[in-house]
Amino acid sequence: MKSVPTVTELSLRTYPKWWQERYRDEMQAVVDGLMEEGTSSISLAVNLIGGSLRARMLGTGAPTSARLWTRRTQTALLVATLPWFAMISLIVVFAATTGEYGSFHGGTNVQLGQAGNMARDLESIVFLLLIGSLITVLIGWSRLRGALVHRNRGSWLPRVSFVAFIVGIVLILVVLPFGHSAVTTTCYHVVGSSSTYNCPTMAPGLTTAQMIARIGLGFTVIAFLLAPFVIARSVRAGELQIEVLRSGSRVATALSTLLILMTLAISACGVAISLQPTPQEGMSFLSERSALGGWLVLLVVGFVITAVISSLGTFAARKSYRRTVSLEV
Amino acid sequence: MAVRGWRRAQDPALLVLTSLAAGPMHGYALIKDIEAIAGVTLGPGTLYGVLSRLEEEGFVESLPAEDRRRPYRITGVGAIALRERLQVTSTVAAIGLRRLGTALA
Repeated sequence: MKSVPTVTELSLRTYPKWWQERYRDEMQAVVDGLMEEGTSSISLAVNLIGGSLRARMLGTGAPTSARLWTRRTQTALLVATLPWFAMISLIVVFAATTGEYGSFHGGTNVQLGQAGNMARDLESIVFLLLIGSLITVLIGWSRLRGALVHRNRGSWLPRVSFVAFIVGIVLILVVLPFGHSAVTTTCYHVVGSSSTYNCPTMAPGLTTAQMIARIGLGFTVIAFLLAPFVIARSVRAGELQIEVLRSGSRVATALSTLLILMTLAISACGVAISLQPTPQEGMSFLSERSALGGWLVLLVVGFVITAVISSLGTFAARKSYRRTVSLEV
Repeated sequence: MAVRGWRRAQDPALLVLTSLAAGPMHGYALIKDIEAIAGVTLGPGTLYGVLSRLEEEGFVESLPAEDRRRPYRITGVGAIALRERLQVTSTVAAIGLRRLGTALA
């Protein structure tokens, strides 16, 4: 009967293949010795997983093969850039649940408080950073696509994703001037409630512009969902040239920096939101609020995790790229 | 508590090289020796991370494995690096202790 692997054996298996070939047996002997004298298997497993992460990040002890280091750089670039897609999903949740709301009585003109203004400004900063990150991703993708185009001639996935993205963006941009007046109003509403204030009466149903915009959005979402698979498949399929790795490593650096800045801005926005005074019942007020409430903390944790993964990937990619260059030379 | 944590804050690479200065040792023996000389228990993940780095830098080299255990020994370059590092540490330690002595006197 095959025995169940222990937690330390499983931890040892998390090391890269080349590491296991070189050190696994002797490490297992050390682990066995320490366990015999009563060291906790959990603490050993934690230490081994930490070591495994370091080995994967730094590649210390990896064979001096240019091919292996090129592959390592490619994988690290994926780890650095793919979290951007998760970050976008989190930003959509953030944007959809955050906004101004208030209650007005007797035509009183109420303004946002200091913290509310700060929260709104930080939201604007997040969206500017988001646009910056989108441009970075497009630049990165165009360079990568140029390098991969001759390798994936038969693959339909990148084409479908690219066409869906272009069609989606074009549709949205075309109807934006028409849809704007129909969509944007000076309507304030209480998040999570059907009550509205100062709302102009709107005709029921969607306008043609709104329908086209939604179709465009649908195309963009399809492109967005396919993109991580396209990128991962393309990058893992072949060996990238050193120039592509260099620009990839720069794009990864820019992207992870933007992700860190977005995380900081959103965290600060969450703090600013929480610093606003609690609205009093029956009084006029205007606040910047998130319908997520306490769940906003979880969203911020998601941002932090995403930014950390991307930064670690960038760190590994840059280090690995330098090593690849030294081996190529 | 803070003093205890500070005392334990040692550079694992320095500890491994110092330990290997006594002669070739395999992983488990290294952990036990470092525990004895510095009161620090290195985990296997930390130890082999350090060994692989030192091996890459040419400061230690591995010897043929005995059963599952592979001994490591310090190289000439490693011995020079260790000596230089210990001399700097020792100078800093001497100055620090002298200043502390003056300050407390």
